[in-house]
Amino acid sequence: MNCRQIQQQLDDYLDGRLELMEEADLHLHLDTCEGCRQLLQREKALMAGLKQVQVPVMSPGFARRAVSHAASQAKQRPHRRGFVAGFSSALVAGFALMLVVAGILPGGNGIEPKIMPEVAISIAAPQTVNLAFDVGYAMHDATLSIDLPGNIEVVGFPGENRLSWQTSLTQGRNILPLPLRGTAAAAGEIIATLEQGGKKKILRIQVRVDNKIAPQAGVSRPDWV
Amino acid sequence: MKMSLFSRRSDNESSFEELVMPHVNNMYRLAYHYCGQQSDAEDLVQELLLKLIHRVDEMQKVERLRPWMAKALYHLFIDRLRQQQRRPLETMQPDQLEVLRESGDSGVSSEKLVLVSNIEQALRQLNHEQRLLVVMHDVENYTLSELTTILDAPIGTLKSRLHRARAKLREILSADETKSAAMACL
Repeated sequence: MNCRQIQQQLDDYLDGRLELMEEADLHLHLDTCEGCRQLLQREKALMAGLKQVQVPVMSPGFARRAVSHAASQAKQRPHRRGFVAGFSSALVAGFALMLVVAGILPGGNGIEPKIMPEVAISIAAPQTVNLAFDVGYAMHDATLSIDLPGNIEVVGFPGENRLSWQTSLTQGRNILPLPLRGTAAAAGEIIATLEQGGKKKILRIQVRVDNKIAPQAGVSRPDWV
Repeated sequence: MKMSLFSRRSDNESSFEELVMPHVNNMYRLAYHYCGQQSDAEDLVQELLLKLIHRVDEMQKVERLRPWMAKALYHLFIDRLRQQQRRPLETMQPDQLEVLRESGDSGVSSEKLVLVSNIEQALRQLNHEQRLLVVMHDVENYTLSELTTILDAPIGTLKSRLHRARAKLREILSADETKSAAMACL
């Protein structure tokens, strides 16, 4: 190995990328060449100097402030195209798809719900209706409300005709299993309302409670509010 | 995703904080190298976080977040540079030397101080691409493998670029040394 080859391999040597044999050859040359030894020392000093390059510290509390600010801005202003356009299109897409994916799923066993013209549940036993929300982007701190007719209740919430909670929807499909129990045979309407930042979208689901188990289910078209 | 009737407020905020907090300082350091000014660096990091808050789900799946965030920061900086037609990095006046002087009790010898000062000046004379590469690899310790992700370039290309950038840096430093020696003889 000559001095020129050493110069070419010096970077790899300093970065620890030389093979063992190459490194041994390099050391062999360094043992006999004062010029290359000095070159190596200068290079090592340069690398050490680069490690010493300093950066002024961040303003006190900047990291936490910046993270909090990002989180608060996300609440106020959803990503992409401004709130109205982004929200509207996401919800239109979401509810349009909801029409085809919302259905009845006896027992709530996680099987993809089928397309049904209407929802019918039995008074005899609770049944799970899966509501599917397909959204174009993640929605944080959305409020989801379910309004129930007098003859239907959500299992675990006896006598409550309105349930409302804050939730987040991830981009893509979000499934809400709604365990329903019919208390009287009659037709009714479940209203699912999704709200975010003063805008809301409503889905009306026609539900019929029968005295016996009925396999059919269905949903209606959404209305803008 | 399965939603729950019993879910309450999103835990996205806390997830986001857990994910990004360990890397904010790293991103700030990179941003400082890019921008050359503390306030600009903090602005850039803030802008990065505003972008990333909407990508928490994606971030949770990323195995190595530091290079992933560094890539996002790099692209943000390049976009900002193009859109705002900022002045070139070379004309900026970072206050790095002052910072080093303030840390006088750190055991840094005066010879090293001079060398680091010279290196910082030499770095500013590199072109934009060379400067970022040397800074990311040799100052901030990103591996070539990580840099392939950040800079979207093959490892062989980056090795060659890094070699040329270091050679240029040495050339600048040698020229400065020669100038200093000549001045000393006057």
